[in-house]
Amino acid sequence: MNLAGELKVVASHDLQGLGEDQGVPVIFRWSGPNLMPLLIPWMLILGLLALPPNRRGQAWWIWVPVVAISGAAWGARQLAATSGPTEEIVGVIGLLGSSAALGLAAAWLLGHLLQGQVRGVVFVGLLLITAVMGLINILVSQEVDPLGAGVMGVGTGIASFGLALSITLAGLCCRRCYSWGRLTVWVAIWLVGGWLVAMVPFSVMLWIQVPRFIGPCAPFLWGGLVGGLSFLVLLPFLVLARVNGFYGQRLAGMLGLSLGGDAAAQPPVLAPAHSASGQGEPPQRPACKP
Amino acid sequence: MKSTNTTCDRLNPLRGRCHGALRRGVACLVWAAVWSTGWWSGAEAAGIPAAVDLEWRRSEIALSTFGLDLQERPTPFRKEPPVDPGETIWRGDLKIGASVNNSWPLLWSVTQARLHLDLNRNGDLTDDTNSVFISESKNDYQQFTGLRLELESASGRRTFLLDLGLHRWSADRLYGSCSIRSYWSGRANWQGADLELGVVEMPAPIRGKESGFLILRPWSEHEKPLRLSEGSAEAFSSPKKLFYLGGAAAVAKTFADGPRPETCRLAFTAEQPPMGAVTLQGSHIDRLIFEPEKGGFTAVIDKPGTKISMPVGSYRLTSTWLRKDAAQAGGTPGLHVLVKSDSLTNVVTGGPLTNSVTARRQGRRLVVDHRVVGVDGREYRLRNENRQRPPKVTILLGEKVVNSGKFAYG
Repeated sequence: MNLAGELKVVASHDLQGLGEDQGVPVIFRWSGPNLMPLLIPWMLILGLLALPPNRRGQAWWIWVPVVAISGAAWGARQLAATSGPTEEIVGVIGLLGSSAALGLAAAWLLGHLLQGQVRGVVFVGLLLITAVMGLINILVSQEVDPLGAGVMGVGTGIASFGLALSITLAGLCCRRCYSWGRLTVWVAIWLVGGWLVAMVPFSVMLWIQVPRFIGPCAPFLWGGLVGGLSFLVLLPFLVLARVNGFYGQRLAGMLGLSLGGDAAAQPPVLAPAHSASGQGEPPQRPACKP
Repeated sequence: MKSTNTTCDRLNPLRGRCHGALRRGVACLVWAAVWSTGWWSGAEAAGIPAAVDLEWRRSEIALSTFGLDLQERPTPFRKEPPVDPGETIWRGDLKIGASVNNSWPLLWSVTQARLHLDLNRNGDLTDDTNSVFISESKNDYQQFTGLRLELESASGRRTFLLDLGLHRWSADRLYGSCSIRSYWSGRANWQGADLELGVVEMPAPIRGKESGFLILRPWSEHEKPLRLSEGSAEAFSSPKKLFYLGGAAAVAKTFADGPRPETCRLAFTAEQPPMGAVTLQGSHIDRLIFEPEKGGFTAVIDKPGTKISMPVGSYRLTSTWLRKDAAQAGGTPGLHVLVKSDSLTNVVTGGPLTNSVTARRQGRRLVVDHRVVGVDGREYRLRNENRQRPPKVTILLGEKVVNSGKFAYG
């Protein structure tokens, strides 16, 4: 509620003559929400943009996927608010989505630190950056109580694990032949496929316990849903890497990929900026054969 | 001999007609003989029945329901009823409570909706009589009604009428519930009131209810269904001593050995405990149930005024029942009450009921909870509440309504 002031909360119920139907009003001093904590993750992104390797106009395009995902989450919640029961679950999914988006933005902005590292380090680095940033967003969101924040923190950790692992594995699959489309397909395969596989034991366990409520399609349904939503959050960042040379170079460098594939098709504005930023040149490999 | 002297003292009207020690002695002996038969006792003089015989009765609805401990058996029984190939069956042991005497091997044919009990526990499920029960439904949840079993209770081996609910969650997992549908009931005149007195036994030991329940309500209501699981104004934990309508008595419950189902007898021995006074603040009170904290009386107070008299002792007010016309509400105040002979004790309980809300901030949300509370601030639950019409909430800023809605039960 964006109101502020002394609220009177009154309950009414048919007490069948055993008391007054209208309850005694309860006064609650409601102050508008403190928006400052909500800005912390955004300020952190701003701070990351101020790092020397990110001091260029192209880096500011990172706001586009973050704002797009956070806006979509907010819009979905506003829509769900009218339907009632789904508001809470949509709110939780939206918060997890926007947290993951902020985490990925931080990972994209700190990607230069992971450049040239072995894949295990890249995976751990991606996981830590996305998870920590996501956790910060949950803690300052004022959406959930401490217990709920703990549960959502675990959820953010799991989601970050899935994102980091799928990006790393997709990079591994594209190490000999990199193109944006190929990387995106591999990310989708690892992300959705990984969630499908991860859901199988849980679904089988539930199916054994309560066959009435869990059908044989459950792992596909839940795995597809979680994997699909994760991919939807990641996709705008992949698109950013496709259309923005700075982030394209950053992603390729982070995953140890050469830009021999469709990098040539990138518009001139997206030319690599390594030398200016002080980043090392990623290894150049021959273009993929059709 | 003290009791004899006491008896003679009570026979003051006779004394006038007695001439000499011999006749007095004979009269006392006759009285002692009559008293010893239990046909008449001091309880009757106080308007308390000496004994009430209770007949075994069936209830149309479940009196009390509890979960079952069902354990699967991996191997077939020594002799089983014929089972068709492909038929879904479940073999295990039915355990009602913790007593080993309340356990029987069972075979449940889910496909045929049939339950076989090995009542003589010899591993042969075909040689028992009245041991096969049929369910009307053939899905994963089946209910077998009207099982008449002898179960170990705190008072011994008693006849129970039970409903069993078996729910097959998975191939190897079963959930079971047991509902008691039998009790013992009789008619009594207590302090001039025409009452139904009843006993509900519980298989031993079920959730600390070993003593079972005593039913105490007007005889005019004896056909009304009882539901103990949801809390009931008409029944409470079986007392060892009862104070009701100004009469106090020790209660002894015995069961007759003989044809089944057995009869039950409640014997009352009148007592004259020291009394104390309690002032009461609260309206619409239909019944208060005070249970003893240290082996005293269970005091049941109906339609009290502002001042009630009850035996001195330490109590816990376990139930407060309110009524207005057809509306009824109950609460479990759990209030500690110390009744003394030399001072008044004040008890606040009952109505009027109020729709109470609590509001708290959860981040950017205002979370509002609703409770129906009594004059004591404790929660009460309306019976026969229409859940299609849940409580409503309105939030105002000044005089302007800024939000409103319905509460969800939970």
